[in-house]
Amino acid sequence: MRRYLAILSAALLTATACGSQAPQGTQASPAATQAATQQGVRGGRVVEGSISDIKTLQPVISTDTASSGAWSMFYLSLLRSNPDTGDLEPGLAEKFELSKDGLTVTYTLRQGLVWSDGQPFTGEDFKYTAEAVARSAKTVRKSTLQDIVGWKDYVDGKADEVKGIAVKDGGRVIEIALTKPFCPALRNLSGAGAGGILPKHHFVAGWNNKSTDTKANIDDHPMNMKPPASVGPFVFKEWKPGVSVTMTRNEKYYRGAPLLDEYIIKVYADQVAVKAALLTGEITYGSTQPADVEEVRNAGREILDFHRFEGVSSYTYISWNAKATKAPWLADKRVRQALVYGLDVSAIVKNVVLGYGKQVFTHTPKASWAYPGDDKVTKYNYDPAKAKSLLEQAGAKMGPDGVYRWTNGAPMTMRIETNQGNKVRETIGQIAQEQYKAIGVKIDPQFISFPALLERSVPQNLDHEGVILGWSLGLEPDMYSIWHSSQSGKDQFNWVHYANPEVDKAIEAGRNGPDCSAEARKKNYETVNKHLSEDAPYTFLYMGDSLVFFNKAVQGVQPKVYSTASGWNIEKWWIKR
Amino acid sequence: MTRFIARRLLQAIPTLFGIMIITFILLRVSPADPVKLMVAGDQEITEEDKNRLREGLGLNKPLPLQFVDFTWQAIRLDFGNSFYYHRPARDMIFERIPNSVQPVLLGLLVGVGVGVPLGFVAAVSRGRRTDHGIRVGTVVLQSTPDFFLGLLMVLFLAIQLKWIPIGSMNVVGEDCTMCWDRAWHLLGPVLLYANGGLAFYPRLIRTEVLEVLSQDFVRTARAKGLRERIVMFTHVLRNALIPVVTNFGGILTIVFAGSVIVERVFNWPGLGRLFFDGLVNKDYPIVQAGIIMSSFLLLISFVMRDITYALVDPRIKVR
Repeated sequence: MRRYLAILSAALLTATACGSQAPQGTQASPAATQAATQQGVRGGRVVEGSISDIKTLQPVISTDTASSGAWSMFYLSLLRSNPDTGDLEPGLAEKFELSKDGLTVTYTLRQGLVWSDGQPFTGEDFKYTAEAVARSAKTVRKSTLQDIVGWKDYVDGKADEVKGIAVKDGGRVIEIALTKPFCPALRNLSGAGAGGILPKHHFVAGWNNKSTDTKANIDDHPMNMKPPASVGPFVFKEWKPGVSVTMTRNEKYYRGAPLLDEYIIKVYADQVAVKAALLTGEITYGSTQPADVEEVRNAGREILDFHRFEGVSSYTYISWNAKATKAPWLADKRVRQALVYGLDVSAIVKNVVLGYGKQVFTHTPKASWAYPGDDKVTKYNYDPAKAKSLLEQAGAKMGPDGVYRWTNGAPMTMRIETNQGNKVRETIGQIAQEQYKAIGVKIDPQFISFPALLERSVPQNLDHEGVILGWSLGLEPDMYSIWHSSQSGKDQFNWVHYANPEVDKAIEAGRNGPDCSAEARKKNYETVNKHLSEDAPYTFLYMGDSLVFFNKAVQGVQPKVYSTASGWNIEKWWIKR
Repeated sequence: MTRFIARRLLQAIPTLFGIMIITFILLRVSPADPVKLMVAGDQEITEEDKNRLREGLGLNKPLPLQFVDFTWQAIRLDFGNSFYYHRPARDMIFERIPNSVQPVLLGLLVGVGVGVPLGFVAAVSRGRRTDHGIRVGTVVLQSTPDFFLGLLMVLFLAIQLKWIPIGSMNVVGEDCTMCWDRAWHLLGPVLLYANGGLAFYPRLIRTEVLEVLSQDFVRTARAKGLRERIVMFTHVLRNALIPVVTNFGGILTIVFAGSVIVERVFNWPGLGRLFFDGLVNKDYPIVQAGIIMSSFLLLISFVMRDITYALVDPRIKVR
C-alpha cells in the first residue's frame, strides 16, 4: 500500500528542481498577485465567455469541453489535479490508494461531505454514477470502467449491481476490485467513468436499473438540463439554451463557500464576439486567440488583466505515415529526422502563433509530472544542411531538378494535408512546402474539409503522407491509443504505423504495471518520450499558450497550467468594488 | 374549393417525400460520420466506445433501415434527438423560433415600411436630386455584403459609439422579449435584416410606379379632374404594390428565416446558427427536422398563395 500524497510531494520537488520547466503565469498583473493575498469580500459575479454552445449538463453523455466546463461546477470527481503538475491530489476523497498488486483501488471520502441540498455525499453516489454509465446508450465512457470486476455482467444485464464496487464504512470508503492491474485506474475511476459524480437520491427516481431504454436510463433524464444538487463550488440556477448557464454560490462547498454570489457562463457565436464582449465589459473572463491578444491588451488596458500560461492540453504536429504507399522513404527514421531538422519550428512559433506557444519535441507536456526532463529527449534545431546529409545517408540522391530521388528512383514528392479554414495550420503547410523545398523534398500542401481529413487520417488508408493535426491531452500520461503498435487497426489512432518494441513495452508497463508507482511510471514514460523524440514519427510542432483575460475587478485569480476551466481556487475569487 | 385545397395538399406529399430522400442522402454521403466528428482528437475514447455510441444513435443500421426509421418518426412529427444535445430536435427548433422570428419580422417591416415610400418618392421626383440620392443609397446597400456591414455596425455603433449593444438578446441576467432592453438589442439585427428590403424595394417600387404612371387609366383619372393625391395613392400606389404582394408568396417560411450571418455577427441565438452548427457537426436530426419543417411551410405558403390568387383575380378559376 502506498500513499499518493507522498508521491505528490516528490513530484512537486522534481518539478521545482528542474527550474526552467516550472510553469508560470508570465504576465500576471501585479494587482492580481497582490490581491490574491488580500482578504476578499463576498458578493458580485463573474461572467465567463464561452465560444461554443453548452450542450448538456449531464457528465455521462457529455463529449465537449463547453459542457464539461459547466457541469464540473456541480459534479466533481473524487480527486483533484495539482494545478502545477497535473498529478493527483485529494479532493472529495482525502485518501486514495492503489494496492501493490494493482488490483484494488480504495478511495476514502472526507468526513461530512454533503450535497448542496443537505443530503450526505457517499460512495453510493459513486456507485450509482458508474451504473448509470453502464446503462447509458449514448455515452462514450464505458471503456474507462471495463476492468472493474463484474462490470461486464452488469452491462450484459446478468447482475443487479457492479460487484467489484464495494461501498463500506457507512459510505465513506469505496473499494474497487479490478480484473487486471491498470495504473491510470486511480485517476480514471475517480470520476466513476463519467468524470463527475451524480446525486443518486435525485436521479434514481424514474431510473430502471435493468433498462438501456433512453427513457428509463440516464440519457433522456429531465435533470440533464437541470442539475438538482451540487457538490462543487456553485449550485445550478438557470439554463437558457444557446444563451447562458447561471449558477449561485454553494454554501456547503467542502473547500469553503465561494465569495462570488453568481457565476455565469455566457455563450458567444465566435472568438470575435468574445473579444468584443471583453472590451465592452459584458464579460469578465474570456480567452482569446494569439492574433487578437495585442489588440485586446491595447484597447482593454484600462479594464482587463492579461494572463498567459503554458498550455498543456493539446499540441500540434505533422504526422508522417511510415507505411505510405506513395512515400516509402517515410519508413526510414533518418528521413523523418531530416524532416524535423528541415523545418524551422521556432520560427513557426514566433510568426504563426506570434510567440504564444512553446516548441515541443515529444508527446508528454513539459509541465507534466511524467515529463522526463529536457536532457532525456532529442532536441532538433533548424539545420537544413544536416537534414540533407541525413537524407543522403538514407540513400537519397539529388536529382537535376533540386529534388532528391529515393533509392527506388522516385522523386521525393509528397502531400501534407490539413483542414481547410484553420489558418494557422494552412500557414504551417505553406511554410513546410517552402522550407522542405530547400532540403530537396517537394511538398504538395492540400487543404481539405475537417471531416474529409478525419476520414483520410486513419491506419487503413495508406494513401496519405503528412497530416497537420492536433491532439488534445487528458491529465493521464498514458498514450497507449496513439503510440502502441497494436493501435493501427481500422479507425484507430496510430495511423502513422509507429512500431517500436521498446516503446510498446514501456507503454504497457506504464499502463498495466506491475509497478504502478509514480517513479516507475515516470521511468517508463521517460523511455517512451526518449524514443518518440528520436524516432520522429511526427514532426512535433508546438503547444499553444493559454491566453485569458480577466476584468480588473476580478480578484484572487491565479491561473495555473493544469487548472481546468473550473478554476482551481475559484472559491477564493472575489469582486473589488 | 375544398377539393382544390385537398388536391394541392395531397400533391405536397410526394414533394415532401422527395425532399426527405434528398436531405437524408446528401447528409450521409459527405465524409466522416457524426460520432467521429464529435470526439475528434480525443485519444481517450476508444473505437469500441464510438461503435457503442453509433449503435445508441442508430447509425450502425443499414441506410435503408435508417431511412425507414426517419420516415416513421417524421410521420409522427418526431425527428429524433439531437446527437449532441440529447434532446428532441423538434423542441430545440421550437424554442428558437421566437428568437428568430422577432428580428426577421421587424426587419421585414422596416424594409417594406421604409423601402416602399422611398421608391415612391424616387419615382415622383424622377430625375431630380432626391431620386439620384435614393438610387446611390440603394446601390451601396445592395453591394455591401451583410457580414461586412454587420461587422462595421458592431465596430462603430457598438464598440466605439456604444449606441447599440455588441450583440445578444438581452443584457446578462435580464430575460424579457417585450421590453426596452430587448428593443435596444434588436436595433442592430433588425437594421441588418432590413438591409435587403431597403436595397430592393425602392428600386422595385420606383420602376412599378413609373410604369403605372404611364398607363391610360392614370391619364383618365387625371382628366376626370381627380385630385393628384387621390390619383397617386389610390390608383398608382395600389397597383404598384402588387409585385410586393407576390414577393410575400413564401411568407410562412419567415419562421425559419433566421440568417446565420446576422445571428453570428450579433450573437443572436436563433435558428440560423442552430442549423448551421447542426450541418457542420452532422447533427442529422436537427438538420432533417429544420429542412422538412421549412419545406412544409413553404408548400403550405404556396397553396395559400394560389388560393389568394384565385380569390383576388377572377380570371383564375379554381377547379
